[in-house]
Amino acid sequence: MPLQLGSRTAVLEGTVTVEEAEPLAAWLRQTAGPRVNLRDCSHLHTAALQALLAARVKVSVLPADAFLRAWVAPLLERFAATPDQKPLANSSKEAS
Amino acid sequence: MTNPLLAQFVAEAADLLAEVDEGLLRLERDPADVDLVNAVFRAAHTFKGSSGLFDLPELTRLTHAAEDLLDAVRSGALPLDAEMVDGLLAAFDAVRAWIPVIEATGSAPASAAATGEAIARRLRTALGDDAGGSSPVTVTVAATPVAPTVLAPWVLDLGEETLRGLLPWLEATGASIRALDYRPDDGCFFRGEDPLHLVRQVPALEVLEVRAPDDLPAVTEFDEYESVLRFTALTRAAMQEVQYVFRYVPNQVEVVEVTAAALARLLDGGDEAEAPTEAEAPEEHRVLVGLLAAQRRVLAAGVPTPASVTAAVRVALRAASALGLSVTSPAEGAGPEAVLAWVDALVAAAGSPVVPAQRTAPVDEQDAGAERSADGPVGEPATEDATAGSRILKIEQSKVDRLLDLVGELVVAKNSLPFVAAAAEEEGHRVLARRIKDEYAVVSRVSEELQQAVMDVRMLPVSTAFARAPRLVRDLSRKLGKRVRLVQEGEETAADKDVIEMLAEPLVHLVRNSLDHGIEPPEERVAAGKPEEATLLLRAVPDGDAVLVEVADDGRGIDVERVRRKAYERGIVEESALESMSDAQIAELIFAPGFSTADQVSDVSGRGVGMDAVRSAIERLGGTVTTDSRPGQGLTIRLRLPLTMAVSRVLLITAGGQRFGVPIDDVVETVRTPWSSVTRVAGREVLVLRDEIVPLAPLAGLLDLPAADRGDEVSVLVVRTATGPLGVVVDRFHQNTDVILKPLDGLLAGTPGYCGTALLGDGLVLLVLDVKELNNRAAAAR
Repeated sequence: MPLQLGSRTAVLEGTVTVEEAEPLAAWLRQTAGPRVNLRDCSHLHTAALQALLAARVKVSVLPADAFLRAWVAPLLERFAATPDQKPLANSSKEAS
Repeated sequence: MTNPLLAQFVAEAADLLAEVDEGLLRLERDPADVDLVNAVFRAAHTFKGSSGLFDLPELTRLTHAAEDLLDAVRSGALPLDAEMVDGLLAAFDAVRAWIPVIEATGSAPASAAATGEAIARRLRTALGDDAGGSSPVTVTVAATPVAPTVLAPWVLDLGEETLRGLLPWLEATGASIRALDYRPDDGCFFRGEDPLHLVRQVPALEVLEVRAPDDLPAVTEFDEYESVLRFTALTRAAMQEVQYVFRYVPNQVEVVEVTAAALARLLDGGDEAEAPTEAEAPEEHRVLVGLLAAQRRVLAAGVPTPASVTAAVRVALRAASALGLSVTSPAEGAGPEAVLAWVDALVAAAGSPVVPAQRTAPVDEQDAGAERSADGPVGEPATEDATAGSRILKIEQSKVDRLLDLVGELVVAKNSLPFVAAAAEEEGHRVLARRIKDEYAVVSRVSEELQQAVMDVRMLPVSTAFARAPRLVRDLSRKLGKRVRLVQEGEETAADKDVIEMLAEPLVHLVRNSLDHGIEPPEERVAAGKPEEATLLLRAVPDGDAVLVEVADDGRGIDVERVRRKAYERGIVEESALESMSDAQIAELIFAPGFSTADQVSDVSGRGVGMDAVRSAIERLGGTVTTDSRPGQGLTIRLRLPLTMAVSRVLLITAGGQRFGVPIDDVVETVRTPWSSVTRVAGREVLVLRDEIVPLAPLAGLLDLPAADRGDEVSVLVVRTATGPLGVVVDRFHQNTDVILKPLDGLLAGTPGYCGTALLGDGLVLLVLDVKELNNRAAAAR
């Protein structure tokens, strides 16, 4: 099961598919200050990603996957840092 | 290799490459065959498609170039010529060379980019030169309507800071980078699309910016199934690669080339005002396009001198790079026509508002380009092939081998039943003994069928071993300037995988040899009254337990006199011996180690290892090699190979109180004769058998075993050896039996004198003798 929904932290593992976006979003709606552990997540469906972004979720453990670590995790962090206003458009970053 | 997909790709690559190779060779002969062109194109396309699943841009780029060329051939725009086939073969050879590295490391070798680029350019040259009569110019025509000179404002979304950081690099290298803007529509999730997954597949991603709308609602009133994100990215991957990734959503994505000039303009312009749109192209742009058009007029008017051509090219190049087009200069020493076409293409690419291109060439090229990008990257329905192939199971060889081992053990266990029956009978249980024997017959039949079934799984057609020949013949005949037609017969004849695999290498030697030494140059053939085109025949026919493979040419045959002289010069045979040798025996000398008739070592053959290597390889397989030379008419080399190596029939013998096995293939006959008929010649015991002298050697002596007492009769096992028959004196003969021969391993590995061990039904481990080694020992004892 790619989703393990705890009381405050969701653990995402493997490939999170579009089907998992719904339970994830439901969990995000009822969880205050949600956190997400992406360590073993290899891919995140766009629907799940935008749910995480909308919930301004905090990343508790960075993903091991190179693509997610390079591009998705910073994005989530940027959103989490700007809770109720629009996120900065151009906090640009260089490729490593 | 951890990625199972990649493992599968590597496994399939070999098949696809073989398919492409074979198709190309057939195509060269019959360029009009539409089905063939389609088949090759499909294989190349599948290859490119699969390579796109992995981060192997070099591979994708090269196969893409090959695919484009094939596509032009398919559409009839280009006639296929030998040069193009050379280029295509080179491309797939390069790919073949990369595959092992990819298999080991997951990425292409470091040199791949350079090699691939060179070959791809070669392919593109062929494409450009002939397609529309245009010159080798690589003007990137973006599929999107955005002119490369004026970048769309969304490029700025990538972050001005990032772009500014990129600018010096672009300026320094003169390279360009691709920017893409991907706006998935609201309902894309419902069509099974995953935008993030697509973006992930973009090779060589430099920067990725994911943007959510400013009014991204809080999670409570958020619809997770309405796609709201937008992706902007920079990548070093080629335009086609990027377009390939987004081939299913072309209308949601926009890709542009970003060059230093255009980027600088965007950044500077962006500071002051909105980026200019295409409609109001800056004055500078118009001037530059005008400049290009002027060069065109210079070239088109009258007869240009070389100097004026060079000058025009220089000006055009500068103008084009200022326009932000990525340009390669035309080939050195290209004629005015080619240069004119090149400038035309530039003018067309610049989107000249001043002088419409009058020649049809650039229009054609653009059309071709559009067509290519339209149907090239779109996935062919490869699914058909996939379903057709699903009836075939690909199994690791080790699994089949394990099955074979188990069958072998079953056979051994089964063979113990007669012993049990005998024991039962001895103890007076006759009925029981009978029943055991009946059961034995049943088990025996089933296990034999089982064994046959497993052996069938391991059977491969000889065509697998022949597969390399067409390419070899083509390359060599071109290199040697000979004309050779290759004919294959009986390719469907099957033999064990091990045999087929070990046959491939000797066949290559034989084909090389035939082309190099056997087949004469065309003039010589015509002079000899033969057709100019030589015929090389590869034929396989089943022959009982064996397969006969023939390599026959209609060349000059073995030049006995020359072989005689060379054999003497190389000190292979002494002069006195040569005198007494028959022509057939002399011809056999081509298999002697170190023999070569070539005066010079060419890269084709003549190193004097070929034929020797052929014979030892075939003998290692348990086969034989014979020649049939018809001087002036041709040479046939016949290989006789066992169908399988796994099960061998051996004759059981006893010597020095121990049982041994001798491969039945080596046995000529068994003789029991009184000692009185053994005579002595030169102090050696010999037996005269049907007017032939057979030297005798006691097996016990050869193996350092205690000799048994001599009875009245002597049992002689006559075996076939390279130096004629040898009579091996043994104590007694037993029956012959099928065994699964296992090579000696562990501490015993490499022990000379034995070719392996086998387990007998009564549990005895049988040592199977190596007749060749026995003969060596007998010769040494003389």
